Amino acid sequence: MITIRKNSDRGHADHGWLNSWHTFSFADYYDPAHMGFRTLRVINDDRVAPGRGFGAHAHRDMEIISYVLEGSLAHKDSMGERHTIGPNTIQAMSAGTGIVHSEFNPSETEAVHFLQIWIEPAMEDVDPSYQQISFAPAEKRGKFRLLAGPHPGGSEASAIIHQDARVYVAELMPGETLRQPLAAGRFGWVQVARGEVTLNGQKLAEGDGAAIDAETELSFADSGAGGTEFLFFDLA
Amino acid sequence: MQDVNVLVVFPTRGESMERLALAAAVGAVQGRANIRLRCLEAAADRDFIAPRDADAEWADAILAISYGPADSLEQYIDSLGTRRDRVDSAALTSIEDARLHGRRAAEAARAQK
Repeated sequence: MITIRKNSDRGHADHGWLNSWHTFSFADYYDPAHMGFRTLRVINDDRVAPGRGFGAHAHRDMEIISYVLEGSLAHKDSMGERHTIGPNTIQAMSAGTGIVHSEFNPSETEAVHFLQIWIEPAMEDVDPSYQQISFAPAEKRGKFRLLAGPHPGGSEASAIIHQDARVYVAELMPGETLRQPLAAGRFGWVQVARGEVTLNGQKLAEGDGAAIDAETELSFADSGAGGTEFLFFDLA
Repeated sequence: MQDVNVLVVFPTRGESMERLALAAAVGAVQGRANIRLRCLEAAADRDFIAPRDADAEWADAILAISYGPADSLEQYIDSLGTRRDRVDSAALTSIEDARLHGRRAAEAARAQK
């Protein structure tokens, strides 16, 4: 069964400097019917104006993944990590016992567009950690590129998170298709970052999400004119 | 567990001062507090903003953090009026001190609620 979460049905907050769409309940947006899916708790589709961002704030017991689609995002935290990330980079933080960090758009001219994802950890009070992995764009073209999971992803480096969840990104050009099995008892979530994708015959537009339950074979096809990029979550 | 709010206020920017304040804030988070982190320096940049009245009102405990005496911190504490009783003013010497202090402040605030 595939249940679509339409982009326009998401929570929305426009603060001027921040335009954010919330797939699940977040901050002032609260809908008890959309508190997350399995261990996936937050998908925020954020656009931050040049020179603006999120000042120092805290997290605890959460796996926090940021994936930039356009622009760049500067990060500074209580572990002493200071980095700026752009597209084709996964940033993953295990908040564990507690971290404080800030996130800003360092550009004076360009907005940053990124997805921030929170996954509930399988255990509390882990030591806080920061991971950042960049990859070549070709690694996601026409195939799934593992961004994060509970174990190392083989030949391609990926972030390790404290949950039985795997996060992939894929980019399809017009006319391309991609197949992915989903093991029995597993659940999936698809989040379209750019363009349009057809998932098992159902069309998803940019910003749409889809919950997947009791499907064993997933078929993804680009259904727009300019290609598509989407995230796929394989969840317990 | 009851919610407890800790406001961490520090006087000036600079890497060592920020690390101390961040450590105090992390300690408070480890003590399962909600935190706000504020800097008094007028030119506080985008990472930190100056404390507002609403921050002190929100806080169950106000951690005034510095390496030593700081006039701006004293002035801030004086400006709090009746909310001064929430202030825990500490001259700290190490990151570990700051973290422990933050944690204890959270725990003490919770015990008083």
